[in-house]
Amino acid sequence: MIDIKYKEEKKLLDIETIVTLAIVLICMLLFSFFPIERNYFQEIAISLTFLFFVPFLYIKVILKKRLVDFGFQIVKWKEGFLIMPVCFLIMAFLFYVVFKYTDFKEQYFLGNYEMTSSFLYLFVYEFIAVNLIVFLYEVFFRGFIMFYFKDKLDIYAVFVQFVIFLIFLYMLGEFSLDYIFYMVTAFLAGLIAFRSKSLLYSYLFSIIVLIVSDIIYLKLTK
Amino acid sequence: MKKNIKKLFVFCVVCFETVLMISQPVMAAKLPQPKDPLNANKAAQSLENRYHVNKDSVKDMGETFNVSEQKAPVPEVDIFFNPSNPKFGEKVTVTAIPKYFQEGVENMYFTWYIKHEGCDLGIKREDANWKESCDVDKNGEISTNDWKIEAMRPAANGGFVKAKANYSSDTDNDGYSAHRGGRVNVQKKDYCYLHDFESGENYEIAITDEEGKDDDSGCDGEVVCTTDETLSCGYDYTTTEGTSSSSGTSTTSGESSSSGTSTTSGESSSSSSSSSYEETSTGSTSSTYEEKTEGTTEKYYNILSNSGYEATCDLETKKMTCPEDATPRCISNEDLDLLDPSCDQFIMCPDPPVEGTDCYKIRHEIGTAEFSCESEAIPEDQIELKCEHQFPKISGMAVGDGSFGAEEENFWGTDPNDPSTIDNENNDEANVAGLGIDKITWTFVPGDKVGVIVEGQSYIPTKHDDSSVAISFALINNIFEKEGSELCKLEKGIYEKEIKGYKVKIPFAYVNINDCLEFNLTKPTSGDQADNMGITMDYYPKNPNVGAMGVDGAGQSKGGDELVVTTNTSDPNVDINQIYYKWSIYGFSGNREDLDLDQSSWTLLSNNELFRKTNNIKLLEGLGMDQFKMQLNTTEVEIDGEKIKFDFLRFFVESEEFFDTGTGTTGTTRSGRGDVMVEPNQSGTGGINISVGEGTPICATSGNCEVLENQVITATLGVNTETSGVNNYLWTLDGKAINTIEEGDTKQGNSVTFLLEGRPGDSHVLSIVANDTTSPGVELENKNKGEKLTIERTFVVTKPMVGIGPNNKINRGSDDVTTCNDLNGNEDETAILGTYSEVTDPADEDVEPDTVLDCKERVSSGNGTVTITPTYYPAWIGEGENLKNVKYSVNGKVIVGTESGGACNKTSCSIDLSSYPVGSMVNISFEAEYWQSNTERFSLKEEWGIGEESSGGKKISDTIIVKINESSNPTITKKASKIIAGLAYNIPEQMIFMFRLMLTVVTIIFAAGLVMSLGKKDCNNNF
Repeated sequence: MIDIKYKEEKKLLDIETIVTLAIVLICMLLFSFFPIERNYFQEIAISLTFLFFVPFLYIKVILKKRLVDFGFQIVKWKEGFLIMPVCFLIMAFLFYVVFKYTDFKEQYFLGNYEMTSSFLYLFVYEFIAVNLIVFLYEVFFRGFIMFYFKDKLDIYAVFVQFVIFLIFLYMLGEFSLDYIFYMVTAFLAGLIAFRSKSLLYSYLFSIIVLIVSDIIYLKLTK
Repeated sequence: MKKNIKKLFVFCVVCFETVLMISQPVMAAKLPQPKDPLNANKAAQSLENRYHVNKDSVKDMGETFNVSEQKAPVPEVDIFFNPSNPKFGEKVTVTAIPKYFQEGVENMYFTWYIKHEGCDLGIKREDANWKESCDVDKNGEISTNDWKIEAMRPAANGGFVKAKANYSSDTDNDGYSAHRGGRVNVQKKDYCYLHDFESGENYEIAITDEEGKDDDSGCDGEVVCTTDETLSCGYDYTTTEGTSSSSGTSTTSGESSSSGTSTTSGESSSSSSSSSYEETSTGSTSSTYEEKTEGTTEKYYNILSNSGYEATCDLETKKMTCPEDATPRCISNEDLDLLDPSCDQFIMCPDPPVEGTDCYKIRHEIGTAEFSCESEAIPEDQIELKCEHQFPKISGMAVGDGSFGAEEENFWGTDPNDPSTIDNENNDEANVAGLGIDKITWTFVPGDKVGVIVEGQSYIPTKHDDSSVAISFALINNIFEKEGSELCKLEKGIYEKEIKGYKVKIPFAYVNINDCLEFNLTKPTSGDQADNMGITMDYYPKNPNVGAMGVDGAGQSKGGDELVVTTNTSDPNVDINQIYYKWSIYGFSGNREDLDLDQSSWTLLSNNELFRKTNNIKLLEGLGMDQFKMQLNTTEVEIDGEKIKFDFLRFFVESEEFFDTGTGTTGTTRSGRGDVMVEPNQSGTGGINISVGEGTPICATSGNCEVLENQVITATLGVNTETSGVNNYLWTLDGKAINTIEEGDTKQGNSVTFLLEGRPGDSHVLSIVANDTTSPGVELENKNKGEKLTIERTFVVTKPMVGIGPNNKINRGSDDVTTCNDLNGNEDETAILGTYSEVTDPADEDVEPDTVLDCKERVSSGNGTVTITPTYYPAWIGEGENLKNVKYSVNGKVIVGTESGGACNKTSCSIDLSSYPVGSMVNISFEAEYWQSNTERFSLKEEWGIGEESSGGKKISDTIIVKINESSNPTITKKASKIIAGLAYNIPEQMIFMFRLMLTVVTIIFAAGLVMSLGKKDCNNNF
């Protein structure tokens, strides 16, 4: 009886958890505040470094775990495809509410970009820039954070990664209506990843939602 | 006197010659011929021809001679007061200035008299309005004697304190025997004279008991002084007759009355009437009646009335005269009762009256007027000469009798131990007599009046057989006879005296001069009323200039002369700080020919707030503002939307000072008014054109001019020579005349060339004074019209500079720089460092403070192709061909420019920065050299002694750092190329970055691993 209690306590507050949380925090902080020159190379470099390489190295070198445990697999595809439509519906409802009852249309930053006047520029933006961002967010928040805490907190890991994502947005100064879809997809993608045990489906979900939201926005405003 | 003798001599000569001419020599050789009868006219004519005597001139002389005696100057006296308008309680001095007396004032007698308010003549002690202080001689009645004592007592004692003296004895022996006519009169007999200023006749003062008989020859009856009167005798009436019919037996009667005739000289009429009728009725049916109706016209009659005055014979006109407006008429005894007729006498008279009847006389004329008379001369022994002094009289203490004892000393308040209490050259009794006392001082009280009787010898000779001249009395108003006065009236007559065997008639008259003193009073200028305050005005400078320092940025003239207008009052005792002054300024637009002094032609300017503000006028009214200052920056004023330049200014001042009447009344002021006109010079018109080198214009025509050191400046007056007549010039630099002139010239012209030396920061003032004055003999148009101008320019020696940033130290604060921009011309908020703001009145919300942006000047942002536009200081060094070796550099790499051509020149340079990555810093530099031309340098060397080394090139340069920023229109392709370009170009930088990143990652992983291993070991140990 005593051993079980001890083992449970050890799992939640062990040194590994603390160090992992510290790594998460350090990565987020360094991503936000690492001194760089404002050029794409450096921006991409730190994004990849702190949102991918550091977690990757931590998992492999320190935790000595397998990447498949962090969502880098395609196992329960059925679960993935089943839950995705539900999430799409929820997003659809959110689209309606946001576009109808908020001034998202007036303030969304995409409207200021000249690239929206050209499909090619838009395509490149959406499928390279947005793609990269979504991929990194999936790897870091769902893959690294959520799957790490999945064993300890179970379904609550979804909420934990969601809260940490919100904190992350706040640190970047992007906690605004412009990123409402990012916030919601972070939660729903977490659910999808939790259920499907794969980052693929959550990634697909996120990328589809974000691109569709941009398209809907452009449709409604242009 | 000499003229009279001359005239007499000529007359005698003429008469003598006339007599001679009448005596003809006997012509024995000729047959006796009847001689021409003696002809005086011919004789006179011959005389005239012989001596070239003009008949008309002689006639004129004779006519003048006839009346010369009446034209002789006679003694008079003038007085003046100091101060002329004394206030209550103030000491006032009155001074007499006698005229036409033989002797000086020191030998004449001045009997002063002062009448205070309430001290009228004739008031007795028992009267209600009696004032004890007026009865100086304590005789219970106010008389002229009191007035005299009131004046002469302080004049004699000078304020001596009687308490100091012991009047029980008198030791100073200061008696004085007064000679009539003055101190030095040595005439055997004194004849005093009065002068009738109307007729010019001189009368010896004498009286007689015998009345002169007036010979009424030509008048059979009595001479009566008659006046025209009007007699009112009721209304007129008319009588009418009529018939009436009636039946019955009654008899009725009534009556009314009205006059039958009406001869009225009146002018009114009324409408009342009454009638009478008589009716007898005995059964008959008709009757007649007479009706009299009173008329409407009031009846007046002009009548002659006996005025009661006595007619006298006028010695001059030899005609009877009556006083007032009465007319002397000679009326026969039987006609005397026709004077003052009654209404009945008129009623009884028929109309018209028969000529010669009494009725006719009373209607027309009674007696005759205008008849001559003759006055019979009185024998000499029946007249008594009355030549007396007019000194104050005190019972028992005669003045001027040679005795001035203690009692008199006590009365007059003099020092019994000092022969001259007031320490003048005369003793006390002489001072009481007024000897030489031509001025007195007393404490003025409003209502005081003063007069003086001056006694002295005149120049008028008497007719007596001795050396006597007329001793005359002069009064200030020369009134010795006052019409309507019973007392001040000359009683005239003629007495006869045998002189040198001839019966000479000497007119005499008598009047008590004291009775005329009340008509010979005067007072200082309204002691109880404030008079005008005399004001004189002046201004400085005498030729003020308007706006000599050119115009400011708003186009307003500035730097005009400070005009000071001062006002002075003639009263030295006034306290300026207690006087309230009010100034106003008027303007007149036009030339001198149109100038109109009527104030309605002038426009009030001082009520224009902008005019006051522009010309630094602060105060317009206040206490003690005897000086008014303004700076003549402009005389142009906008009125009803139209700008008018005023050529003349007129400064008005009104002054008010409270005046204490001393009578308890308030609200009285003394006021003064004055004005002065100023014609300022309108300078700043045209300005001065400045050029350097070979005519390169620099600076504007006005305002400060920045120049370089050791520069030869040419200044030219910018006036239109066709319309302006100025042809005389005076150029000065810092007050010293510039004497450089062109070869062959002998005077300064409208252009001057000079060397401006000095170090950067020095300032110099160039001024020109010009006018159109020409000597009268020179025939030139538009000359001597009074045109003149004065203009100044300030030069500031400066070091040349250049600025190439969009916001640099040279264009900072200029009007066309209102934002902080980047090199692409876009507004750059990141370049704003702050704002300089002018401090204004927080309460005045309408005033917006001037602000100057403070922008980054050394670092600018930009991207793509930027244009560098140098800003030069002074601005003109960028013009012309003087800038050499212009070079632009980017990160040290030179882009060679030329002075005028190529992509990069002194004006601008376009530089492509697109190859530089965003965020990088690029240095852009500019340098050039300013060189004066060889001609200028040679001139400096040869003419001005400035060596070549001092006139060499002056280098100017500037550098800015450009921070490459993002273009506002980013494109993917550009970004891609930028990434590649950035990568390729910035590899070393990226390498460092990557290294840092790797280090960070390694550190994190290492730290994490270390912590994990330590933690696990610890757990294992614990476990």
